[in-house]
Amino acid sequence: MKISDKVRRISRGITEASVIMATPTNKGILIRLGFPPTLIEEAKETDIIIAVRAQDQDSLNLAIQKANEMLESPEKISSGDEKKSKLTDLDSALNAMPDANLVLISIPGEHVKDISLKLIDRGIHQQIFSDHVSIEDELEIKERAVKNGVLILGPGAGTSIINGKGIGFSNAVKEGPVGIVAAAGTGLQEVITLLDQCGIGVKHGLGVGGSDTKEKIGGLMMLECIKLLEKDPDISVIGIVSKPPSPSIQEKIIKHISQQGKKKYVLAFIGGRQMQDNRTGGRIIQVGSLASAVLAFAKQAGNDQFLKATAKTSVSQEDLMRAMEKEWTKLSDGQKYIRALYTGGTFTYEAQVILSEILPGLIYSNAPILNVKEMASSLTSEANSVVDLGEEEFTQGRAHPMIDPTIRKLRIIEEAKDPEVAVLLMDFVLGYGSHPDPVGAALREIREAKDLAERGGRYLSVISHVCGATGDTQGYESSISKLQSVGAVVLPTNAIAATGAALVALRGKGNIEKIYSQYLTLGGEF
Amino acid sequence: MAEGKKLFNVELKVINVGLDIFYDALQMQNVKAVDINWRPTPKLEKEIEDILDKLL
Repeated sequence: MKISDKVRRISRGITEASVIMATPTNKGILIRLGFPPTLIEEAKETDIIIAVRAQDQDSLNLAIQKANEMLESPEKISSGDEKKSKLTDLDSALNAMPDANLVLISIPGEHVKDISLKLIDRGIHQQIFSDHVSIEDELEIKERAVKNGVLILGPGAGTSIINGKGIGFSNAVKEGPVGIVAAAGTGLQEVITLLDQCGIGVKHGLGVGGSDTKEKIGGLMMLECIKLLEKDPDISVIGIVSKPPSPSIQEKIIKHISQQGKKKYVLAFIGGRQMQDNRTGGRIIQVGSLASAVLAFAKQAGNDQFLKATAKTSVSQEDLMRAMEKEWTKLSDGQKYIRALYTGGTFTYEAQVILSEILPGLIYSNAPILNVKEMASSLTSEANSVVDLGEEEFTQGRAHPMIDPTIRKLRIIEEAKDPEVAVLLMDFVLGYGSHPDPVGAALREIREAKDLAERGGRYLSVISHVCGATGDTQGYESSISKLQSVGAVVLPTNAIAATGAALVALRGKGNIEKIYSQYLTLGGEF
Repeated sequence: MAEGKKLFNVELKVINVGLDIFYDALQMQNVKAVDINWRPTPKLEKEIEDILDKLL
C-alpha cells in the first residue's frame, strides 16, 4: 500500500499505480480497475504485480523503475526526502527538538493516551488525528490539558491551521482576520477554501474533533480555543463550524460567547437553524450550512466582502434550475436515484441534511443522521444513498479515500451499471495530505460510467464539487476544467451540489425554496 | 492554571508521530518539523508480565 502510494505520487502523469501481492482478491480489484485480465491472471499467488496506468510513456517508465527500486531496497520506500529523521521514539524527538510547541499524532488510538499525557506534562500542545481513542481517555487527556494550559486538537482532528500554516489535511489559504474552531474536518476545509476564494484569509482553524461537543467532554477544548482566539489581536471574526453539539453544550457555548465574547461570531451548526442574535446587536450570526457560513463570515467582514462572496460562492435558484434542467431532460424514465460517493465526512453529513429535507424518508446512508435510514450494507447502494467512503469499513487496511481513490473508482462504475441511477454526486478534496490529483485519478471512471449508461440507452448525470484553494498544488481551476471536460457539472459548494443533484433526480420538482432560505443564502434579516 | 508552551504568534516547531504525509505537508510549507518513525511497543505476554512483577 505504501509503495503504491509513493509510486502514484512520483509524477502527475501517473493516474493509477498498484504494487500488490497477486492474491485472488487483489487480482480481482485490478481487473475491476480495468487492467487486462489475461495478463493479471498469469500472475501466481507468490508474485508481486506492478500495475501502472499513466498519461505518457515517460511517467509509465519512471513509475515502473521506482517501484522496482523500492521493492529491491525497502529502505527507499521512505527515502526521496533526505531531510527525513530516523528518530524512533518520542524522547529522542524531544531531544532533537527541545523547543517543539506542537506534536501531530496519527498512530493507533489505543497508544495515544500514554504519549499525550507525557506531552501535556511538558506543556506541549497536540493535534491528534487518531480515531478510536475512547471517550474516557479523551476526557482524561483534555481535563489534564486544561489544568496545564495545553491545547488538545482532536482526537479525530484531521485538519487545523495554526499561524496560517496547515496541519494535517489542509489547504494553502491566505492568512487573515478569521479564526475558526471546528468539530468537522472537511467542514473546516470547505469554509477556509471558500473564504480564500472570496479574498478573506484565515489565521487559525482549530479542529477539536467530533466528540468534544458531546455531553461527556462538555466542549472543553472548544471553549479553550474560543478563549485563545478572543485573545489574539489579529482575529476580528471567530467562527464555530460543527455538526450540532448536544443541546446543553450548544447552550453553554452560546452563553459563553454572548456574555464574555467581544468579537464578531459566526456559528455554523450544520443542519441547525439560521438566526441572528439581536440581543448582541448582530454580533453573533447563526447558520445551518457550510455554504451559508461563508456568506455570514463575509457579512461580518463588511458589505463589499458579502457581495463578493455572494457572487463567488452562490448560484441563484433560477440559474441552478436552468443548469440542472439541461441534465434532467437527458434522463430516461426509469432513472430516479441519487448515489452520493463522498470522501469527506462533513460533506456526507451536509448532503444528508439537504437531501433528507427535499426527499424526506427516502435517503439511506452508511453514516446516517437523524431522519436518514441506515444502509443494509455499505458496499451496496439502495434507492438514494449517501455513502461516506471514509468510514471505518472502507479504511481498514488501506488509506483514507482522500489519499487513495481506488475504492471510489470501483464504486463509480458499479453505480453506473444500475439503470435506476440518475445522478452521481461527488466531492473532490484538494490540499496538503490529499491525493496529488484526486480529480485526474477518477476521470477515466467518470468517462466510463457515462459511456456505460449511454450504451444502456441512458444518460448519467455527474454533479460534483471541488473543495480547494487556488494555492493548492493539485490545481483548483484545472481540477474543475478536468471534471467539465468529461461532462461533469461542477458547483461552487457542497450544499449547492447536493441541492442540484436532488433537482436532477426529481426533474426540478423538489421544493427547494426552504433549502435556499435555510442553507444556501443569508436571510433578508441580515 | 499552568501555562503551556507558546503556540500562537511564534514559530511553529512540530514533532510528527505517525503518517509521513503529514510530515511532508509541513515540509512543503517550510514549517520546522521532525518525524518519528513510530512503532508500537511490543506487548509482554500476561504470564511473563506476572513473573516479572513478582521478580522486580
